[in-house]
Amino acid sequence: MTGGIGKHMRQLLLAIVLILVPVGLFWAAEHWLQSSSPDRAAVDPGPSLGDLTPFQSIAADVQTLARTDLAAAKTRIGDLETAWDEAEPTLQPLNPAQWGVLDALIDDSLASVRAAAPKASVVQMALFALQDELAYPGTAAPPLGTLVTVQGIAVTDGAGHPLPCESMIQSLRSALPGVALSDSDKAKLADLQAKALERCNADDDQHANAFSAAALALLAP
Amino acid sequence: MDTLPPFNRVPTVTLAFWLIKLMAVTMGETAADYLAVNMGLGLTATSLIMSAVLALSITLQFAQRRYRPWSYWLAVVLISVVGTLITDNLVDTFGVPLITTTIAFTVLLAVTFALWFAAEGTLSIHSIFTTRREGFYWLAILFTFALGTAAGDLVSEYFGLGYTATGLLFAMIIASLALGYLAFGLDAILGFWLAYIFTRPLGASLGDLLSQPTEFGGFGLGTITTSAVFLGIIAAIVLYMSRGAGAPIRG
Repeated sequence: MTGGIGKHMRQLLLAIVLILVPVGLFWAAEHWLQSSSPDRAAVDPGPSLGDLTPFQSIAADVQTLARTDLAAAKTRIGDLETAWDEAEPTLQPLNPAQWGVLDALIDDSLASVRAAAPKASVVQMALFALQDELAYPGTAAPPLGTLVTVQGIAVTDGAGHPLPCESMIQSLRSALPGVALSDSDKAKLADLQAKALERCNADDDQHANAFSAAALALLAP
Repeated sequence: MDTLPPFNRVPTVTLAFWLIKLMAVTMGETAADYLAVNMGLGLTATSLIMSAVLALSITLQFAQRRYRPWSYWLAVVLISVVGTLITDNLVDTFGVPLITTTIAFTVLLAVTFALWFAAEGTLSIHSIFTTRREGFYWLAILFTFALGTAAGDLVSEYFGLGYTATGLLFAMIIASLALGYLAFGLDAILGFWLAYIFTRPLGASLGDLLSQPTEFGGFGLGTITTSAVFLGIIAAIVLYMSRGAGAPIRG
C-alpha cells in the first residue's frame, strides 16, 4: 500500500474487477438456469387430472384439525385415503406421472399423521407440500408472478419471491402478546417458532416462512 | 509506548493459515447456531455470554506480546462465534435489514483502515509489533467477520439459492482474488483483507451444508458433530504449529 494515488486507484480497480467477474459469471449462470426452468414448466405437463378441489378441502381440514385434535385429524385423513383410492382408476390413467407425484405426497401425509409419535412440524410440512401440489399440479414450484399463501397467510411477495424470513418472524413476534393459548398450542407454537428461526438462520426462507405461517395461523383461529 | 520487541504478534499468512481460518469460520457458524438454538438461553443472553468469553480471550492474546498459536487462534474462533451471533441478533431480534448491516460494517471497516493508516503509515500485517497496531489488527478482523456474515446472508437471500450454490459463488470470488494476487499483481495486503472477508461466507455455507438436515439439502451431520470435528482439527493443527514453529508452547 505504498506509492502514488494512481497506484492505489489501480489496485482498487483491480480488486473490484476481480470480485465482479465471478459475480457476473454467477449471475449470468443463474439467469440462464432460471430462464430455462420456465421453459421446462411451459412444456406441456400432460393432460390435467381435472378437479382436485375435493382433495384440497380434505387436506385443509386435516391440517386445521392436526393443530388441535390429532385423533380427529387421523380420522379425517382416512377420508382422503379412501377418496384418493376410489379415484385411482379414473385419475391414474389421465396422467400417470402427475398422479404418482400426488400419490407419494399423500403417502407422506398419511405417514406423518399416523406416526407413533406425530411431530406437529412434520405433519404441517407434509400437508403444505400436498396442498401446494394439489393447487399447482405438474409444477415443481408455484409459478413465478403468483402470490403464494400458506393457510391464507402470504409467504411471498406479489412476484412469487419468498418474503424475508426475518420479517415474517418479526410479525409473528409482534402478534404473540395478548393471545391466550392452550398449553398444547403453546408447545406447538414454540416448536414452529424454533423451526422457523432455525431455517431462517440457515438462510432457507421458503421453509422458514412455511413454519412462521403455520405459527401465525395457530394464533388466528 | 512499547519498546518495539522484534516479534510479530500475528502469524505469517500461509496455506495452513487459510485452512485454519476457514475451519474457524465454519465452526463459528455451526457453534453459534447450536448455542442460539439449543442452549435455550436465547440469542441475546448467548451473545452477551460469548462476548464476555471473547473479551477474556482477547485480553490473553494481547498479554502474550508475541505470536502464540493457541491464544491467536482461540481469539479468531471466538470472534467467529460472536460475529455470527451479533449479526443474527441485529437481524432477528432487532429487525435491522441485512442491507443496512452490510453498509454499516463496510463503513466501519473502511474507517478502521483509514485510522490505522493515518496512525501508522502502513497497513502491513507483517509488522504488528505494538499494542496499538495489534488493536487496529483485531478491530479490522472483527469488522471483516461482521461484514462477511452480513454480506454473505444478503447475497444468499438475494439469489435465493442453497448453501452449495452460495458457497460456490464465494469460492469463485476467492479463487479470482488468488489469481489476481499470483498473476495480475494484486497488492498482498489488499488481497489478504478481501480474502479474509470472503472466507467468512464461504465457511458459513460449508458449515450449513455439513450440519443441516438432509431434507433441507445438507449432509445432516448436525451442529454439534460439525463444530466438534472442526474444533478438534483446529486444535490439532494449532498444537502441531506450536511445537513445529519452535515457539515456546506456554509463556
